[in-house]
Amino acid sequence: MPLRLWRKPLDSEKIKIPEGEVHVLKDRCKGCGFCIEFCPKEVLEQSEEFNIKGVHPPQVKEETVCILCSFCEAVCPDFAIFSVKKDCKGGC
Amino acid sequence: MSEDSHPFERFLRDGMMPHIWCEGCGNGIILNCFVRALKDIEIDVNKVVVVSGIGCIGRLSGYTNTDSYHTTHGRAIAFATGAKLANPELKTVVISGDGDLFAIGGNHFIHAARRNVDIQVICANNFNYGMTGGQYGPTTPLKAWTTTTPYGNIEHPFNLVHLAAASGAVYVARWTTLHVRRLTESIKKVLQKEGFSFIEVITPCPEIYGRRNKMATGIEMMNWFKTAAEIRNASDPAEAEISPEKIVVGEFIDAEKPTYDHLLREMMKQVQERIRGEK
Amino acid sequence: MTETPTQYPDSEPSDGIRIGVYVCHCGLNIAGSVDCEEVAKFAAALPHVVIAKDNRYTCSDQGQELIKQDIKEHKLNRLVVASCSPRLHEPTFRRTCEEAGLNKYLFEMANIREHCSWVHLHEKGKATEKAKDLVRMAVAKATLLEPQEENVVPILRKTLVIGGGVAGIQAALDLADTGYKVYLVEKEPSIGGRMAQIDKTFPTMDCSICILAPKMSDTGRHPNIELLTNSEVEDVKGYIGNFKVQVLKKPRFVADECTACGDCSKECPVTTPNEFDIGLATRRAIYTPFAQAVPSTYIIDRDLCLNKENVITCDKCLKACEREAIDFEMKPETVELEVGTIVVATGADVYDPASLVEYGYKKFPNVITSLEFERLINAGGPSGGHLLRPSDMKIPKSVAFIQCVGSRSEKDGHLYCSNVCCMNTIKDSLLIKEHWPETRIYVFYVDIRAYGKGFEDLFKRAKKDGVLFIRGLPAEIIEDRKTNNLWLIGENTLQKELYKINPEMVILSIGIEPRQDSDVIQRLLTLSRTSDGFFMEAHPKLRPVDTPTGGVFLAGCAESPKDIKDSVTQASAASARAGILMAQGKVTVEAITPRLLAEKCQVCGLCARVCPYNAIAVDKETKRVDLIEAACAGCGTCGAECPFEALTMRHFTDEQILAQIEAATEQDADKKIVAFCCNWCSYAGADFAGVSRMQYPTNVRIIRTMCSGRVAPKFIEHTFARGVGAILVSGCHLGDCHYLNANYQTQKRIEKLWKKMERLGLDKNRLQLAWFTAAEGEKFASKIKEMQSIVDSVTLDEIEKSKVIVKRTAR
Repeated sequence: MPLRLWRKPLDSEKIKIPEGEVHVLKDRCKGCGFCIEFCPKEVLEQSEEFNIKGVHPPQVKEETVCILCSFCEAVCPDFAIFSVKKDCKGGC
Repeated sequence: MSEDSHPFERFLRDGMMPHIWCEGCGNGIILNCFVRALKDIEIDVNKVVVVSGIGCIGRLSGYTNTDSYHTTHGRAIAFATGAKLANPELKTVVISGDGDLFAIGGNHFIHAARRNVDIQVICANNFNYGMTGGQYGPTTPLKAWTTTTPYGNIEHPFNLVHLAAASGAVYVARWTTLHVRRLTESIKKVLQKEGFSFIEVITPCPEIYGRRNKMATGIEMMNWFKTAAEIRNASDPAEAEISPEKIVVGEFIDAEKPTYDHLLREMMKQVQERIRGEK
Repeated sequence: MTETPTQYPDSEPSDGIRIGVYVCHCGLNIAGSVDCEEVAKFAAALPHVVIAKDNRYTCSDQGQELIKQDIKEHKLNRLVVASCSPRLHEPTFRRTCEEAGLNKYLFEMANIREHCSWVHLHEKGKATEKAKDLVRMAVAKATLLEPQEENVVPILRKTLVIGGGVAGIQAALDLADTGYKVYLVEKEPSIGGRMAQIDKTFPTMDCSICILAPKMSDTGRHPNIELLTNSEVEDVKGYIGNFKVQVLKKPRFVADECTACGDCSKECPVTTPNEFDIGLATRRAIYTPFAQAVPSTYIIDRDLCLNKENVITCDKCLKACEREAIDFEMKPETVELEVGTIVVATGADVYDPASLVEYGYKKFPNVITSLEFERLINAGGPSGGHLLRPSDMKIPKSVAFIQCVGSRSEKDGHLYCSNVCCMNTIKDSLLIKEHWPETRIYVFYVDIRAYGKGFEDLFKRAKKDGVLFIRGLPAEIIEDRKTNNLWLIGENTLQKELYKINPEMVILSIGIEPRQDSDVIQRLLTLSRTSDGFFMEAHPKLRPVDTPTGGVFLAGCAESPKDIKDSVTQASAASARAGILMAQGKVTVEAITPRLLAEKCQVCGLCARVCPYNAIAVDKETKRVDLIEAACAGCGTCGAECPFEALTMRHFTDEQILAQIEAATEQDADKKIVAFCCNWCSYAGADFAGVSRMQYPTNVRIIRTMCSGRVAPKFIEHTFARGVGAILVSGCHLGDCHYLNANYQTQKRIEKLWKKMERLGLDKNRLQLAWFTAAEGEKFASKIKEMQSIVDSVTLDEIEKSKVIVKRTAR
């Protein structure tokens, strides 16, 4: 279609995508980086803090971007990260 | 984020976490996919037996909250066959390494496949003997560097899926630890299938193998899987190559055949009836 | 009715060539300015002429009977009729020959009416001399004619319809109902095209999708139609009746098990503006284009889906689908179809008014296009049928329509009128009045074109309902930043005063454009475009759905902008035309195609390069040259190009044309003009000059070829060698060649000859090149007058010199 789509869709406010909440079990993390590298929405980044093993576990970069695909949970070799559906209560 | 517990805690043996596998090792992902499959099909974990051999992956049976055998080098399939025949109601899963299953354990593998013993074999293929320091094995690629091939490997590796298919396995698949969703689906399938099933999982060994072959981190090895993997379902396993440019993955074979114990018990019944008849 | 005997006499009969010549009076049309008896007497004395007669109306039943009797009685084996234009009666006399047992290709006509008696009304003596020359030329050619057999090409009873809009759907249904197998290829995931986006149609105010959806599902269900959606035509080879088409089926990643329940879409986390709603609503990465899509199977947009490069990171749709219909491993598939005919219904795009900076489209949120309007007012659209202002989602109390945006303009958009916008606006204004009767509606127009059935009624209704029509497009639109209302400033040309109107919303009636990606189809099917960019039909009046390429037909907006009624009409017409070919099951090819003399051919490939129809296949490795007769149109460009004389153009051979040249230049060559005219344009133009009785000098002798591309340089050289005064080579205008682009070869050859003449010191003015249409009779007449002065100024010395030089340097 030659008309480039440039408008903000009229229903963009109404569409609700479920958001995910990422939980990191920091002391289990071995710092392999798979979750950060392969997250499709780039939700995670390496944190500055050290865990008990002396590595930098991941932290959430952008709260609202996680779509709860749970790939981080599936690809973590150490059972150190998982995601749950954010409990909205009308606030997201 | 306090007192969170990972959704899979109940499938992991108490006190065994964290596991001994290196940072970036794919064995943890295999464990992750395996317990996810157990959870998804809602199987009774008391009816699952995990048998492993010697190697890094051999530690896996100790981490699953199931009845487990951690057996001698190469004999996991022999043990599993015995366990299955003794108690056919148990789902007997063998999770072991490439060296354990195909070097010292090669003979057990081909005959168990030939007999179609109802066991499910998941092979963690990391292209070397990792636990003992990184020696070359039957799946080490040509020209690869290992501690016992310091000038490059001069042996051609096995094509494991071709071997399994040729030996008569009823389900043959290959995935990498990056393709977690499809790997989980395959494991779910074999847990609900009867017959000798084989899943080859290409797994990163960055510390021992990868580091010596220009892929020093888990991320580098996983990115190799990403760019090189080509999904070819239902294709000829003989042409499923593994090279620096291409890793052919997919479900190659999914067939049905009467299992060894099914035929055995049928024969037993027939013989006993004949004896009774002659009396 | 006489039965047609099937035996034809030999080409070299034992008693030699026996020609019969008939000079027609045509009442007084010819006899008024040509002495027909004298011409007949002259003809009787020509070599090989056995009998020569003159009669009043040769084409009448009596005239034809006379000829048939003579053929039998005098054992004639060639026939020449000197009368009107062959473009008129060649088929008539060919039938006469066949009925008398003579091969129809053994007949030649001399045009002594349109080209002689009618254009030289007041010079009886000279006209008679000219008529004699023309008869001599015809007899010379007739002596060399050979009997020909027409080839029969079988036609596959299968059709390809490219494009699944309403035109494509209608064509497919008509052909499938007739009983032929139809492949309908559509680029988008669903058929329906533009009509599915429209809300209501004019003039009946029918709901568009309601009348289209039953047709769409009929198409999806029809046993004779194979629907290939999300597919594109990649390659077309072959010719009429035998096309081999390669179609790429792009993967949907959703299998046919899909029941269109929509559970997957609800779970998909990726959103994007929806193409079907022109970006006014969202869709997900897994979606269906619209609710009534056929096929209803969903499709995954892999460019948006998070699963890249074979890794499934997000598996929400997979988990949501109960039918397990989603398959990320689907691969593109190429299929090869064999069809007999093709219908092109690729439709049109709409003009993007963003380039009209003065209207502020994309800058001002409340300036929308007519297509966006359709989606807004549609009950199934993004706003549930409420006409909302995009800035504040309120219903406007006043709206303005601006017509001719992107149409009828020399600088912005296109020159042509887009046909549908006037009625579309009238319909839109009535729709607004229906829902919100208090809305003030302005329509700014240049002309209101309400030409069709029921259109004027609708226009009257709109005016009665209070829609204000103001003649004068606004020069500029300005926005009021606070309210996002708009100010339109312009001139009301009927009242001759300026206006300043303040509507809350402006709708631009955008024009229809040719599809941007139709270049591929154009190249594959060797179609031409008219100057406005739409595909060209074979003849604008008499063959409006045929294309110059045999077996390919047009329907819908691919041919020109039109409304739904005309698209459907044209689609049915195209399927009828395609049906004619397929019902007959075969097509005969006129026997004017070339024959290869293999012993002379050097496999240089020049012929293949100049063929406009790709009808010659040259394989330099295997040294094979194949003439694909069914694709050949008989233009003769290949024959003129071949440097080794390895191609004979049947019925227009080199020898026959050279014989005509010799006959024309036998007497007083230095005072004559030899004109090579192409059958379709320039010969027809000369005919038209005759019909219009335009007078011009008598010294021109016209030689007819099918295309100006047939004129080989050696013909011109030979004519100069015979001492002619001047030569005219003429054909269709460049770009309008009946044989697509063959006349570009003519131009190249003449330019080369001019350079050669300059080098040899000859007056290159003696060789003229001119392009005429069939309607430019006046131009033809003036050209001949112009060339008369050239002939007058050429000295005998110059002619003698050129004779010697040309003979020395000619190949």
